[in-house]
Amino acid sequence: MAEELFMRDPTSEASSTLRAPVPFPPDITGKTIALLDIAKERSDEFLDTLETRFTAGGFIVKRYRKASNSKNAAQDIVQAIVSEADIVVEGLAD
Amino acid sequence: MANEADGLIAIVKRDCPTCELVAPVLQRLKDTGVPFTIYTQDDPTFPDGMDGVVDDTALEQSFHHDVEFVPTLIRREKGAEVERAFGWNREDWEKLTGIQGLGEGLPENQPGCGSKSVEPGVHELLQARYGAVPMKARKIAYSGWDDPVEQAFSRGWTDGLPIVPPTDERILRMLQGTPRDPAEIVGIIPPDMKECTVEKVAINAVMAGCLPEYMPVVLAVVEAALDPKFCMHGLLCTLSYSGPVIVVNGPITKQIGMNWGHNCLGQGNRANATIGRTLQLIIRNVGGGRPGEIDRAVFGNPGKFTYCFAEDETDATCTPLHVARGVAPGRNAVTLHQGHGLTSFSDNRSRTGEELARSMALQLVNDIHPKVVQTPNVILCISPEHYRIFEQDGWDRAKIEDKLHEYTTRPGKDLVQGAHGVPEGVSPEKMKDMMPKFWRDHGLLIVRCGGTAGLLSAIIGGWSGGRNHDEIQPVTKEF
Repeated sequence: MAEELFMRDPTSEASSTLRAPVPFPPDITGKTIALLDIAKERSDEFLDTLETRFTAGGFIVKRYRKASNSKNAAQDIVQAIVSEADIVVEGLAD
Repeated sequence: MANEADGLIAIVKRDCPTCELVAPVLQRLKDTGVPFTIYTQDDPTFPDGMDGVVDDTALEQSFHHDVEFVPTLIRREKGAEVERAFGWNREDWEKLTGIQGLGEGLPENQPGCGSKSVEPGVHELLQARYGAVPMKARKIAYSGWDDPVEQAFSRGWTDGLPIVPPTDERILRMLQGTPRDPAEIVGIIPPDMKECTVEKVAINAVMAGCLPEYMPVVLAVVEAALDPKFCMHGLLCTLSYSGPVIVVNGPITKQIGMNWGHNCLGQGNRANATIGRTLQLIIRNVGGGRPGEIDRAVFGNPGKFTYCFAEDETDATCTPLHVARGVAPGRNAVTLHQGHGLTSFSDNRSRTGEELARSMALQLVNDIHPKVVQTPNVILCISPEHYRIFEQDGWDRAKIEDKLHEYTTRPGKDLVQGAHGVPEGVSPEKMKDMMPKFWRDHGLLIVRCGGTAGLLSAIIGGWSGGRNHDEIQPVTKEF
């Protein structure tokens, strides 16, 4: 089932076959930053530190938390971040 | 296959009465001790009780041996095939094997069955899997755990609706719809001005959901869209609502089952839906034209997913659009219009051509703005019931056009800027002129189509770029 399959490229092939990440915003002044806690041990400590520093820097910070570090974020969390924030930091732990 | 031994080869399947019939003959050939390989397409235990039968349920050997019928019997010598027989024919089998007295008690002749390797759609699958393919487009790999439809979305290949994944077997099938070389360049696609090959057209046609028999229409549509007079680049970039609107004429509309009748501008017909969608996908994928980027439409319109229909040519009294535009009767053609949306026109009381033409004119003058003239070109879709009113008065296409141009020509004093308290309008110097709404040569395209019941017609509005009379026009392409 996990064999590698392929499709043919329908484009002019002017870009890489790898999907490009979303470009980083050129100016983040005044942006709203979402801190996503992945629910792993000490994730919150790391994000608390970031929140303190971002807030001191004049950013608006919103906090979100996954139900479990072993699963993807629930759809309502993803949608909340997309609609409420400009940038997301997904926090690690350990 | 390259290393296959000399000797005899048989390809059979259980689901073939003739293969069942010749099973004792196969056993006898096996018993002679000559090198003999039997490939079975559907049941590795067939022929029953015979040793050494090779499982070819994947049909790889059947494909490599180019088998069309079963049973097929082949003799190889010095690494190459020298003779083959199809079905059961005693004389042929005895000649091929050099063994007399084969199939005692069997009829002299019994035709075989079709090989599983040439069932509809299977050959292209096998070609993609085991053969050489002509496609040059690069491969985009994905894991068997991934959903290719979602992969296409994430790569930005779609118009917002799911696409059919462009796999090799599907592209091979699509390429069967045209004799043209997959590597042939159809044209340069704006806005990125990238070459588009027949293969890229086929890939996007697969994604749009086309059948192979739509390919001649799709290719003609792409070529028409690339005619400089159509100005595809400008149409894509415009703030206006418009996109390509496709009218198909000729015998092919019936051959591929296009809709010119009830709901012909709506959903539900595969050819109508997917031919128009293919052009939009090509503009998006090959040309790089995407909404919010180069496509600057303020609103766009739902027809930018797809906008394609056929003309009803079943009434011999109505000259078809393509013939009126210079194509010989009986030939196929596409006409591309830079258009958008749909304006309704319902008139249940007109009973003469004169009344109906005057009535239609009241609605036609409103496209883009009532006081703007010689700017949009429009398509007027006249339903069979409305057309019958003209036809009963002996009006042909030319007379309908003449009258509509006449009744959509208005005094400049009503159209100049500021007239009737409305700043929009034509230049004040036109105050004493009579101003036609449409360009006389190509501004009003009449298409007879729609359901057979209903005194309704429809106006497909046009792009403001049409004001550039010489540079931007509808385009008709014969094929």
